[in-house]
Amino acid sequence: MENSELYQSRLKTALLSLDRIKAKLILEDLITTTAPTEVVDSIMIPVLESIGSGWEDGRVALTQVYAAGQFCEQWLDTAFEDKLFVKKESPKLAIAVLEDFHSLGKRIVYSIVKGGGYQIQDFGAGISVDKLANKVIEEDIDILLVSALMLPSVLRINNLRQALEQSGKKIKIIAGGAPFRFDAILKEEIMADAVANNASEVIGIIEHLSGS
Amino acid sequence: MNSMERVLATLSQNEPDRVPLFLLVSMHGAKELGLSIQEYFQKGEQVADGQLRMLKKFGHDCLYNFFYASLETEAMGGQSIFRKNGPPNSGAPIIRNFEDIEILELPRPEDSPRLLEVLKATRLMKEAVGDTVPIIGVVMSPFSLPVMQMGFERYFDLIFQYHVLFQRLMALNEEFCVAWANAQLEAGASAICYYDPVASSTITFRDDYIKNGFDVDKRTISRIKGPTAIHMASGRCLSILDLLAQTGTTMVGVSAEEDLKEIKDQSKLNILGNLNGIRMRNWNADQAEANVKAAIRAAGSGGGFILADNHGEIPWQIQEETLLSISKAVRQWGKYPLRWIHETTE
Repeated sequence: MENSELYQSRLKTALLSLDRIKAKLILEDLITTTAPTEVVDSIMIPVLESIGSGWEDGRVALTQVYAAGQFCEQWLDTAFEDKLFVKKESPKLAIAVLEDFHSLGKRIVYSIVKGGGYQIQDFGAGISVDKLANKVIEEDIDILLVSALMLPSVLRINNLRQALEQSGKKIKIIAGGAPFRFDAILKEEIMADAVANNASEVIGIIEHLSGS
Repeated sequence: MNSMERVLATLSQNEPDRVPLFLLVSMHGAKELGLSIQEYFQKGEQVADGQLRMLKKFGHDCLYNFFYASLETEAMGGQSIFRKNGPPNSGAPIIRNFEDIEILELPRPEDSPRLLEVLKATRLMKEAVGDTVPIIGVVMSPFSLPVMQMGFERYFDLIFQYHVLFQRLMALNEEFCVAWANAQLEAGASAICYYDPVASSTITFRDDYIKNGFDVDKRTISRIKGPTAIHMASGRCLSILDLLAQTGTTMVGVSAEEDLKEIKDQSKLNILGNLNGIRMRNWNADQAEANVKAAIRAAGSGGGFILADNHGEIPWQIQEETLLSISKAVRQWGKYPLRWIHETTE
């Protein structure tokens, strides 16, 4: 896409300064000449990924990540029909906060995943291992995103894996949350298929795990 | 030197006999008494007993009256949801809609049976140690408390979209925070750990902190009748160190994600930190020693430094042996003068 870097830069600046009006104008300008899926793939996702990386290395604050994801999700919802952005080969996705009530991370990931053109079900926060496993099996989910802020919740992901394995279906788990940032070894202790270091990384991981 | 003398010396930017160690253990007291976490925190006398036992066992330099973070919202009508192997979660928010803030009233600390247990624990600890060991009290900052009062997402929307209601909530929280901090000081706490993770640059952009949280912190800390340590609870603070120094606090609790030496070089404040509490669960004695040495090397010179974890609450999963190894390493490598830091480079 022509001038994609310029548009990315302008959109990122607008999102980081929480200037929703400017961000909206940039996207409205783009959409007059560019297909919606290309706006998402070439502009929105790279910008969200860049903002996510910025948070990981301390250049961006969580409020900015949250506002950027929320804006993109809302813009997509209001500017177009949802169906325009649903990827054809989308796996069945769900997200939950396991035995933990800190739902901001889930909310951010949910916004970003939706902003990336995926449909995703929200199974809520504070859900127990057994309830979550049952829900995932019942809804025939392919990839489950698990958000956890507290160490004990992260450690429960292994129990969740065991419960899911009993279903006989290979359900993939993507885990994420603050404890992983503080200990790289934690990834190896958890039976997740992938761990996301920031919310924006999730889209790439979904694509990788689903082979899309 | 006793613990109080050691801590006071370092807070005056002088080198005491050794680097002070604050093992901010709360839940481990339940293990000491053979109780569940939920049972343990029901009675102030149990918490005092647990703290005194841990002080004796680990030989560190403070007592800590902290129960758990959601205690304050419990006092405001909220609930805590306990688990067996970690701190309780805050239950349903007490502020469910923005309009709730218009009619919100917060209790006086002395009217809350749960907070009275903390004051009881503080008094009992004070009776036991007098002025020989600092007793650290805890408050949630007015700027950070709303995360538990209404949830992160709604709070972010409040800050950026509902300024009048945000200001009202800050005013209510300030009054509560000041009263609660001063009640703990009156009961015997030597200083207040003022938890303010939302102020950290991990969560809030510097300009937004200046706009929304900085004045709240300045006003609140100025009314607390004792020394405070502003603690980021694992959040980053390098980019706001200059602002934190203007709040009137005497110390900052810093993240394991930041370079302790850089913080020390740039900060006018005393430093509390920054052992990684999550990694700590896998440390053997050698790793505990190496991490203690690294922290002391980075920030020990000249005083102004207390070794602690980076979050202000050592996870339940940390083994007693690890805490003993940390304590031993501080005794071995924390003795002033710290000549060894110039002799080796490991």
